[in-house]
Amino acid sequence: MRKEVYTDPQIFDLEMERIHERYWIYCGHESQVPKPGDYTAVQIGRQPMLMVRGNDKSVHVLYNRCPHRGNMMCGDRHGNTGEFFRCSYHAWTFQHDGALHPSVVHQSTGRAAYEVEKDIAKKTGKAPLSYHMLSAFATVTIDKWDNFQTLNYRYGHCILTGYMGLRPKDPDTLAYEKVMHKAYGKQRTEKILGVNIHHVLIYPGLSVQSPLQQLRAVRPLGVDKTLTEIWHFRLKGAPEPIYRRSLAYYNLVNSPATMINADDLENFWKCHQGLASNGGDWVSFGRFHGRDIEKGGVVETGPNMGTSEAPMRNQMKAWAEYMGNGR
Amino acid sequence: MSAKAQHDAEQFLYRQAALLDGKQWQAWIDLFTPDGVYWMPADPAHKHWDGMPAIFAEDKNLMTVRMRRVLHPDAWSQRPLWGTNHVVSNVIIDKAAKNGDLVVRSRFHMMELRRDDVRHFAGQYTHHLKKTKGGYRVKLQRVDMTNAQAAYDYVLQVWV
Repeated sequence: MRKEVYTDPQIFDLEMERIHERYWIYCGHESQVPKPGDYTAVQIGRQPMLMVRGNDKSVHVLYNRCPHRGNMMCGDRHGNTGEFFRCSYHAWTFQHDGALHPSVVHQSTGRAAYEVEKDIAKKTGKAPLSYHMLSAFATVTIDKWDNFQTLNYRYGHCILTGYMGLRPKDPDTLAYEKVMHKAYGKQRTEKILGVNIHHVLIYPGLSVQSPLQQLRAVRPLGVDKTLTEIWHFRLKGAPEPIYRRSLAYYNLVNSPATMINADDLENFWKCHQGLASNGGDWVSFGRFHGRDIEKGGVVETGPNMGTSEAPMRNQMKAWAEYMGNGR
Repeated sequence: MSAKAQHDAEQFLYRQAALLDGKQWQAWIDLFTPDGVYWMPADPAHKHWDGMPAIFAEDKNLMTVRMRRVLHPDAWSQRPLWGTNHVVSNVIIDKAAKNGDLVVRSRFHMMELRRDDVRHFAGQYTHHLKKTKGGYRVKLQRVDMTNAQAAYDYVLQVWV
């Protein structure tokens, strides 16, 4: 034998493709998944797979990958998935045999913050606004997110309207508005503060949350590695509590101990695991495709379509243009 | 500095670390005074936790949010198996007040396993301990990570 059989990565890949991913390979023993919903994750060749016991007692073996964005479906080595698999990224839900099943929710931090916010309010009358920054992420149904709108501009830029665009009427905000009136006059102040923005995405790597003075610079380091640099800003001349609000958000949401992004970042990692599988060659950005409304070069998502994947379609369109569109 | 205070402080630190490794979140939170704060500065030069960017700056209410978050069944990042192992050592009592309150410095190493990946953290604890009838309680725990300024490969889900 040539020594390359043992050392050449290309020969290894060919071997995986032609032998380990094609012929009968031991996956596991059925006693590992005795009850309906029991699953165990296993690697077959290069493929992350799941062996699961269905409700009808049959054993299914599936790619450990959501067909939507490629997210790894189960993060654990083994466990019980209950009635369904639910993808942690967008809550796409599947039966044990892999068939799609509709349903959506996500809560963790939002729910916990909501409970503590309620406890504090009960004890002291009012919880600090920073709790609302977290509890607002508690989702009961998908409708809430569909109330928001995205505005998609040329070259991949995007505005997400909504939640952070709200103007609280607490004494700190009112004091800040007073300073703004003095500096800019009433009309201009209204124009500045009346902007309904949660997030602005500037393609390819900048994300600005202006209502809370947060800025994220996303710097790609490799196909599976990205550095996110996060800054928060002090508004010149604004009262101290306005800076404290920005800081509280920064610490809660954007610090390396974030309670909001922990699950998101886990999902991004899991996407790379899932995409390693041959479960599909495509990633889907199809939600509400064909129902976008174009006005003067700006693609708006229609009413009750806040979860439209229009921003991703818009970004990938810009990507294709910059990359030369096949030229 | 009495040998007893040294012994008691060490026992307290070991037990506190054991609660983290045992995922005994509520018992760990209970070791703080009602106004206690857990603080991990973003920069070792920072002198105060209040009003500065920090990796952690949490009172008991925020600790409770964090605890309930990691216990929530939809906290997907908790689904891969993970565990930690703390070693606390080099315990030095910096200040001992007449009423028994202490300022204690120590060093820690923490190994974390998530799925098959090992991360290693190390740094210095500074505990401001209040002596109470039920034993010491933490008024302020400062955690200076050696890698505080480095990029994090993944977030810190819970307290170190």
